[in-house]
Amino acid sequence: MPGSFFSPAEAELIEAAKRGDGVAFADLIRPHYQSAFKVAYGMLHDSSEAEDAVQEASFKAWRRLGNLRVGSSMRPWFIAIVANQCRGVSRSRWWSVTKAQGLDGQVPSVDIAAAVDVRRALLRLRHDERLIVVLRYYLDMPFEEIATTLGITPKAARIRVERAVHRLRPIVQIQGAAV
Amino acid sequence: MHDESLMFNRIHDALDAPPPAGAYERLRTVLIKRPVRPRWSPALPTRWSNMGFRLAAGLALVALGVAIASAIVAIHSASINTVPATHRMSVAAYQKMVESDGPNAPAVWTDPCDTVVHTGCEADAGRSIPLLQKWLDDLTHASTPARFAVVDAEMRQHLTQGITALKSLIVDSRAHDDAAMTRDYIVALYNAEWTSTVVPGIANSQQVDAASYVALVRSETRTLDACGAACGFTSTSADCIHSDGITCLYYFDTVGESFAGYQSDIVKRAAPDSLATKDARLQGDLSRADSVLLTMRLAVAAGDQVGFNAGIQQLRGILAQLDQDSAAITGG
Repeated sequence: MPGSFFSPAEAELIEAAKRGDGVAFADLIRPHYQSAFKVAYGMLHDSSEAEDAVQEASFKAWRRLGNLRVGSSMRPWFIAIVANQCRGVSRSRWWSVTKAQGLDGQVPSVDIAAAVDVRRALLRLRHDERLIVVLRYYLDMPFEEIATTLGITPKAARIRVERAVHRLRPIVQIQGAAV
Repeated sequence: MHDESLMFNRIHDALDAPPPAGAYERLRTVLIKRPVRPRWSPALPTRWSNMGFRLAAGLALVALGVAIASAIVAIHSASINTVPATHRMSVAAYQKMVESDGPNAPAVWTDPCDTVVHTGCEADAGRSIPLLQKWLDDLTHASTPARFAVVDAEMRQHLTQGITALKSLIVDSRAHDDAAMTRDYIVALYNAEWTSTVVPGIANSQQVDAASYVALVRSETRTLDACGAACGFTSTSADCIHSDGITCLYYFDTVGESFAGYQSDIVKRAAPDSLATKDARLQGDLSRADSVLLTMRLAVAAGDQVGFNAGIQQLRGILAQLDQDSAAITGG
């Protein structure tokens, strides 16, 4: 699992961030920014909303930094906060029309149309199912790290991935055959 | 293995997008400009004392119990025709009303709103309150069709709680009371989430025959039992009070969605008259679970381990009761 223990440099940054040092906290999350953005984008399918969600989640993570235990891993902890932030954003949309119809303004081609289908299928999954698909197949997380992120056992993580894939499989297989 | 690699490829094809140029640098600038002092455990302290919280939670449970009991009596009365059908609102009219009121109320929210950092909270709450109030007034003045008696009582309870929480949110936002806002937001969000899950069930509700209803209850019970075994604190001892709360939020959402989703489904595919009383009992127990989950969330906010543990025990009891309700319907 990546970063299971804080390095001395990381521990120093954490201490400084706990004292309110913004530069230290920014440096602390820099290695995880890409993953955090991918999770947010995978959940929300909108670049601007994903950037905003990561920003809000970063502040929440900073406020909760005192709860990050020595010996725990930074990435799953931060990713979990981002995922919960995305849940909040999704709720604030509620009945609003989702933005899955286009890909940030591009003109759909055949490949893009296929991608849109997968994205629509993802949006039809419940939040927790979508999250587990994003963690497994977009962030390429091993089951152990998914389990740490979600606070479940690796076995439960595997079962949930299988369930979510079961719901997505028809669409993905149709596309697999078509391409 | 082929399936795995196909899934990797398709998801990457569908989602791969780099962060917008300069995104991290923008975040870094904002973090430096708006420094934060991390909180310490309990993660979400509030100004409520544990005793005050338990008293409020107890009163809420009693109120909900009375509402549900009244609803069950109403259903029973309806089934023996003591109330002329012409005096009740039609199912279609009720559905139209809920469908019209429901989506308006929460759609005004623009931001998650649990701290003073979110400056739009007050305005959002101010816009939302009259919409929720109108919805509540409409429900109060309607003569609810028997089919929706239980869910209607529960919905009015949620709306009342939501309005109270939003009013507090405005007061606490003006007082720059971060912790109290968090508590208000938990209540407002929980209520909004519940209504957003259940309203589609009401809007699309159709009475089905006994066989379809029994099959639905059997399937929903299996799903709920699976959740009881795997969704978190109904089967394990989660340390929600002293942890960072992330795992617990996940548990709350999964378990909450399971109960509310079940209720939405059985409202959508409504029981035939012959099973109405048993259906009301089932919905009543789902309502109790819903109420317990809210009190557990508030217990986490208050740092109240005893209240949280009591909630877990209650949830386990309700799951067992739901199994009995289900058996009474399915005959198994």
